[in-house]
Amino acid sequence: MNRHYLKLFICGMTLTSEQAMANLRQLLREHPDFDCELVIVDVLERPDVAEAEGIVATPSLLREVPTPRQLLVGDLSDVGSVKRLLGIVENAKEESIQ
Amino acid sequence: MIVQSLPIERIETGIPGLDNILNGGLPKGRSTLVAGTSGSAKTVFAAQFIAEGIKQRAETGVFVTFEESPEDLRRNMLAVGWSISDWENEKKWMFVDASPRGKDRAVVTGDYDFGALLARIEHAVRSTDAKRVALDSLGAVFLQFGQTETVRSELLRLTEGLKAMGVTSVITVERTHEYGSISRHEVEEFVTDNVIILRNTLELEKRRRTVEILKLRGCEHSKGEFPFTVLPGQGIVAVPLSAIELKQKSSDLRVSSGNAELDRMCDGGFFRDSVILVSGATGTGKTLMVTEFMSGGARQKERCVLFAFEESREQLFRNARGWGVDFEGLETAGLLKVVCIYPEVKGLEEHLIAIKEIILDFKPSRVAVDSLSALERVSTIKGFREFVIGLTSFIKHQEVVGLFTAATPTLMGGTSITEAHISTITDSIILLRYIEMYGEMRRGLTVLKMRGSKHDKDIRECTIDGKGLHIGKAFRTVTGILTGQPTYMDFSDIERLETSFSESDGAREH
Repeated sequence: MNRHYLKLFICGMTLTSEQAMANLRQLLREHPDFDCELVIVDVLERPDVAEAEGIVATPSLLREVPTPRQLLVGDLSDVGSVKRLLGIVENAKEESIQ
Repeated sequence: MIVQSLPIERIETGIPGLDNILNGGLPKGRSTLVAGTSGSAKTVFAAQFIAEGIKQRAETGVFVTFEESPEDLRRNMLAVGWSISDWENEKKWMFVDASPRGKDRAVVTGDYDFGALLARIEHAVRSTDAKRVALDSLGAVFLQFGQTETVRSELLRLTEGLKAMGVTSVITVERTHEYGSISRHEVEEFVTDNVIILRNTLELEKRRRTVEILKLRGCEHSKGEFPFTVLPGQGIVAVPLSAIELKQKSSDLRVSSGNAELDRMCDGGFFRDSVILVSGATGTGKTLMVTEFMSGGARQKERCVLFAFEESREQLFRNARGWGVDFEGLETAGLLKVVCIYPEVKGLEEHLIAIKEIILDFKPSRVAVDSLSALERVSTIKGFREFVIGLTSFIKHQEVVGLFTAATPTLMGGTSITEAHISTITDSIILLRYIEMYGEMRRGLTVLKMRGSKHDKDIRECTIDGKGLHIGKAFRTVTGILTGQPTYMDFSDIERLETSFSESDGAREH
């Protein structure tokens, strides 16, 4: 099984930031098999990390591993797209990578 | 109640010529939109805004790139002469790299803002204590995120953020047409205060770059398009023509034309800060007059520069030798500099800048251009006129005497096109004309005008020999020389020989 490395960039504790975190948490709760390591980066505290990764918009979810890198811009409320892009298959015991 | 607002503080861009057009600089602490079609030097403008701040005013800057990678910019700008990586090491220049990075694919999954970008810019501004920020170019943002309402409102928030940081910023944006709506994405809606337009138009098969200050809210500025050029080692150099103020000092000091007879006709010589136009057909002695002007200056230990656009060095030197002037010796003595340039090698703006540099470097007292007509060939009428105005006013500011030559298209009489365009700009005009007299070609010379001085009004015969130009007596029996249709008074041959020249040797002054 492949472990996913995710970074969620937020900009302070705004409504969209909280929305993005809630959406992601919900998704991970519903898919316990989805093996991932998540780091939350507040760009106001760590603008250097945002610079290094070239993040323009917040919130942004960056999948570093597996490659190719994938950037999801926005508060992740389009759950269908998020699942598809992260390779989470509905009702599947094991997730596959598209 | 009377509300008086304080004048808006300006910040000099440091881009040569531009601050003149801006009447001081860009409004401090605000954003200025720089719009242009592709290839209009927007990126150079943005980079130069930061570079000149570092070079001239010790102001650090942040460059936000949406399009080219910092790596490409470092390499491209090195060709202009700016070593960005050195400045980065010295913490004077900082990139915020918002360019699309190779393999990253971005998909929008919900609401977002540009908080990360703003945080990155703010971080860069704080850590370098930057006073200037450049954003290049907004078009790429729309390409990345789409032309949505969100992008628009977020860019507005970005400009507000820049204002709050207290930095002066330049934001570039694409245009589709040289004349038409300001920008492709209508971003002027939110950066409305100040707009500069860069153009790169094709006029009569020649590229012409111009800069126009469209608006500068609450500030005075020059209006209309001003030519500029992009030079290696310098970047953008604008030519602020109508911004040139007519405040040249005028001098009563006279200098010799190099020809004693001509000095006498001009009531003692040319004024020290005047510009003289010598007009004549080919072979009438224009280049000779230039040669004498140069050697006359050198005789008085004045430094002289000759810009030759028609003949090669070898030709000029050989001709000068033929008239008894040793150009080579004068150059070795450091009194003369002969610059031969083929007019077609560059545009007139670049010629003007090159000429200015040589004059500033050599610091001559006399400058000759032989001939202006050769330069006219490589330009449009408008561009040529701007060139002559620019050169004339520059020469006057330097308190230098300038002698320009212009060739007439016809052998007999007539005026040159060059002359018609610039005669009002020059202080004095000397005409050299062929005169056909009883089966013989003769040369005539007259001082047509001389500002601020009386002068001889005769049309005099002149001859050329191994010692140079000799001015003789006035033609008395011929009329209509200047129109090119001479008519002769009805004398018998013998009478003609006796009376064709007046004996009253130039004393007639009105």
